[in-house]
Amino acid sequence: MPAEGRQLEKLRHLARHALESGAVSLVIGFAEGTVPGRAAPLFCTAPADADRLIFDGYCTLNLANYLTRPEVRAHQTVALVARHAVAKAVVGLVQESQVDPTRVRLIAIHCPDLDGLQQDVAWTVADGLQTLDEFLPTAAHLHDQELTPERFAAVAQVESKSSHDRWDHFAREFDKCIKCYACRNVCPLCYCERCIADKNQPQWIDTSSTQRGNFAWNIVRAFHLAGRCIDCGACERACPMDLPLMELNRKMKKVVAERFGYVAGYDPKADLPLVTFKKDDPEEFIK
Amino acid sequence: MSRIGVFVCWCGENIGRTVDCPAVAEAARRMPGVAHAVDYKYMCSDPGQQMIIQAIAEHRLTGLVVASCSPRMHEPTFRKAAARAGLNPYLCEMANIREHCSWVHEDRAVATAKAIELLRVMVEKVRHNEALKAVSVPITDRALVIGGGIAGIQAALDIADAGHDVILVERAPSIGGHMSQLSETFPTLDCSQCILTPKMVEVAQHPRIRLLTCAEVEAVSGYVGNFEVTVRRKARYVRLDRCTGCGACWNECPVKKIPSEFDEGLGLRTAVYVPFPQAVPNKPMIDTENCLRHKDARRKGIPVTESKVCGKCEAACPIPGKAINFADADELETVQVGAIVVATGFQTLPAAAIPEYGAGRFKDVVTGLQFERLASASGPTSGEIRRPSDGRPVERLAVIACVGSRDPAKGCAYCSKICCMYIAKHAMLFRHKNHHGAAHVFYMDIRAGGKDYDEFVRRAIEEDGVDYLRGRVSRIFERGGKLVLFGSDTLVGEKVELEVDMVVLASAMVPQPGVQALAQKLGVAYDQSGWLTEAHPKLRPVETAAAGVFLAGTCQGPRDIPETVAQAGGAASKVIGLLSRDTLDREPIIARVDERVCDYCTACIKTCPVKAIGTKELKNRQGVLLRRVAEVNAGLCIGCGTCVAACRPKAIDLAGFTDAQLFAEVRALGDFNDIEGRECDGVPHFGPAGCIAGQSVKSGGLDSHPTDAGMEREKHG
Ligand SMILES: Cc1cc2nc3c(=O)[nH]c(=O)nc-3n(C[C@H](O)[C@H](O)[C@H](O)COP(=O)(O)OP(=O)(O)OC[C@H]3O[C@@H](n4cnc5c(N)ncnc54)[C@H](O)[C@@H]3O)c2cc1C
Ligand code: SF4
Ligand code: SF4
Ligand code: SF4
Ligand code: SF4
Repeated sequence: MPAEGRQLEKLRHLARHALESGAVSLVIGFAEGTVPGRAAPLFCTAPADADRLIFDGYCTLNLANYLTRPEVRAHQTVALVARHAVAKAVVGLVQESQVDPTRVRLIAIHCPDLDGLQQDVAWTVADGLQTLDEFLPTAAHLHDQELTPERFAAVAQVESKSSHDRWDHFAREFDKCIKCYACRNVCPLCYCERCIADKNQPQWIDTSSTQRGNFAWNIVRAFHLAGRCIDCGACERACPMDLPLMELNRKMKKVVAERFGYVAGYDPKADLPLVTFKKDDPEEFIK
Repeated sequence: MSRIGVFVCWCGENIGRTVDCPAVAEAARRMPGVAHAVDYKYMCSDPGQQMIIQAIAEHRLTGLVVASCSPRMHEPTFRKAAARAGLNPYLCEMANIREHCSWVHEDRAVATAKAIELLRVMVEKVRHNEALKAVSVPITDRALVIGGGIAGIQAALDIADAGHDVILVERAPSIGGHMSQLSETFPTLDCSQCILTPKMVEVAQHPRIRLLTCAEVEAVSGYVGNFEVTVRRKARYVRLDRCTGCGACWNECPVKKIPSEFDEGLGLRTAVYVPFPQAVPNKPMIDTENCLRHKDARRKGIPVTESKVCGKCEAACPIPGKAINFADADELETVQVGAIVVATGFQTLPAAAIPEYGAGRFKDVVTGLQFERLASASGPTSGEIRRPSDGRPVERLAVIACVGSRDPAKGCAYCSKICCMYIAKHAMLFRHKNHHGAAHVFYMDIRAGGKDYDEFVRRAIEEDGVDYLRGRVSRIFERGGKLVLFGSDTLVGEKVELEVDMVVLASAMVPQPGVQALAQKLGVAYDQSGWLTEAHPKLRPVETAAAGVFLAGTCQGPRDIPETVAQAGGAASKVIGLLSRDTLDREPIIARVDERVCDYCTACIKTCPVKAIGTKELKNRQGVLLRRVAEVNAGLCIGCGTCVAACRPKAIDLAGFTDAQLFAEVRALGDFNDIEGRECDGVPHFGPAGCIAGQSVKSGGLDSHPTDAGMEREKHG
């Protein structure tokens, strides 16, 4: 059996065993999609379901997204097939009291680099079901890759533009937005029951498909994720209109790293930099 | 349907000169929802308020906007007027057309147009106002006084005498502060100890005062009427409940050569010591830096209770069960108080900051406080003015004023205020003690304003023959056991060279080091020099920006004893006024959570600066937990709005400043319909009702033209 096949067997075995032993009542992973080159989320509640699990470079959804759904919350303990970005999202959800870490287990998938989404990337499955605390040390080394210049190539390109050209660039890009909110719906950290964009009394965010509305939505989305976005890229991949959402997300990530020395997704106990109140905050931006 | 009354105030000429008030009232009459609009010279005057009260009844008004000064000035005035007419006070708002308009503009037409817009915004707000009810909270009938100098002592006694409990927290082992170190006090030259000691004893014996010495404030939470303060009580190693202050321990202590802080390093003390004979409490403490047993324990890295070194104090202590307690440790105590007086006092500029005069280098260059100790009958020389270097009597004395004071380079741009008086006192005391001696004073100006103050300085010059030289001393050096001063006498325009036995430096008063950290805990502001800041320099001199926290004495700025005592009495009266009430009405401007929307992300809980937000569990009828949501404690919330900004889904709203109100205000600003002849200014607004650049709102609707003129301007401008 090829190496990949052995890893898949291991993945299915872990899932099956987790359900059989009663350690969890739900395993969320991926199954073959309806069209080639797509993977669909799979919710396994019976051990036999585990046989349908797959994992490959198409499994790009951030499954942590499902943890905040009422149907999933109803389960006492849930296991996630988790590549690194999924685990990072779980960290964020724990920080914001959305997920009880004692009720989540990870079937961790390790890829050699941070994203590990390329087709031919070699992946391995960690031994045994892990708690978040057990998992975190095994991925701590990836922190170093979070801020490498290559990750910010697109940001640097936008930054190098004049403000005039930058305006045009975003005006053009945002103009494509059709307000489908797919970006919001796939984002594991966009879990609000009632998004501010859906608030209409009063309606702060203009929902019209005009330039003003497009700017309002895209800027608010990015701002609400500042210091929280775990850089999984799910939103950009979900966008049917190919908006370069990661340009904004990564710019935020860069500023937060520079200003607060913080990268989201590594420490479930850390204070979120934009959600702290410090009396001795230098507040340099005001002076 | 709202029936809003608009009252436009001229503020005499203040507004009327620049804003056409009748025109503003006229424009108001055309605003939707406005039932009545008038203008008047002084709305805050009695007739002005009567106009409001009458109009409320006559026009059955449902809301008010007073277009006048800042709400900081008169919001309470007009809200009270509304309440007197039976209208909920929170249905009254102010449009600030003075500070925000007439005072900052010159062009009458522009200022008038702006006043109309400011008014329109507030009319829109009031249309969305709701009646609010003040939150009533109980008051803890107890005050905390921080610092036991004369300021803290006076405040504590005044408050306690009025029948309220006081906790007095003093950092040092005894209360008394700087006043206990002084010899005699200007302008009457009465002995400082003689007038202070009775007050110190009164503090110790007062049934309503709880004195905590060797103690400091560690943390403060809560709000006016209900503070929770954590006090650190530092280990003293002497049990106050057992010790009688007999002195057996300090007589036996073998470490005898420690420079005494109280004597400003001119006298010596032991390691177990009472700082001065009149100390309150008159009981010793062990100085762990110098105690042999503590030193031994530190060196060996063992607990001090396990060291066998010395222990002579413990052996000498005659009390059964011993009052010396090497097992003592710091204790944290939490106390509840309703009001706080800060009376942490001052320090003088350290010698290291004045190298040019050789302070700290030449033994006979002393500070003002050192001179006080030399002149004090209970001081190290029993009141004889002798040189610290060789103990010889002083024949010629020089005093230098303004050392550091009025010198921005030393960080003291201010005048220390007391020095002009105490240098006259020093020179005078010296002359009284040494009739043949000569005293010279180098001064910049003499600032002796105050009752009997100028007379006092005159007496020094005219009766006691003190030689006042106007000019600076540039340098001091030692020559043949004497000190030589180089300076100038600017009145006669000559250089001066003077040989003296001793020099006294009137070094600047500076804030207590570290008082800023305390101020931050209390939410009290401080100025560039570090002095604590009052709420208003003229009208609220003892209050601070933090409600329920008051200032007394030199922590606020340089001042002498009479002024300190007067201010302490003022602060005490404010505290008494507060504590005499059973409950306190707090502004109902508080946050509230929409439980249907809250996701319990905890952002608000983490950002609330006063920790007013907690968790509420929503359960079904069977008691099963459905979910958790944020919950605001109305008694704690200060209405800062931080949580509102932090909440992404906007599940939190601030009563009195609701989303709906602010939105209406912003909308009103974007409405250009009412301003005659006003064209769109071409700047695109992203606000919900903002104009679409290049078009008027009326004609443009919500159709967007992304690359029109305004955006071009923004891009290239
Ligand atoms: C050389 C000299 C001579 C003077 N002569 C005269 C004179 O003749 N006549 C006159 O009217 N005035 C005179 N003054 C001024 C007088 O000393 C002051 O006005 C007065 O002492 C101020 O009292 P206070 O209580 O504000 O401050 P302080 O006396 O400084 O008392 C402050 C107290 O607070 C305590 N404290 C500080 N920080 C803390 C903390 N964080 N927690 C708890 N406790 C704390 C300190 O230990 C101290 O006991 C003179 C001053 C000097 C320097
Ligand atoms: S997914 Fe793309 S098109 Fe859809 S709302 Fe988000 S940015 Fe707009
Ligand atoms: S904003 Fe996009 S990249 Fe960031 S966490 Fe959400 S889905 Fe992932
Ligand atoms: S910030 Fe908003 S959503 Fe989050 S817990 Fe507070 S009220 Fe709820
Ligand atoms: S408004 Fe919000 S953040 Fe401010 S004190 Fe009240 S609850 Fe706390």
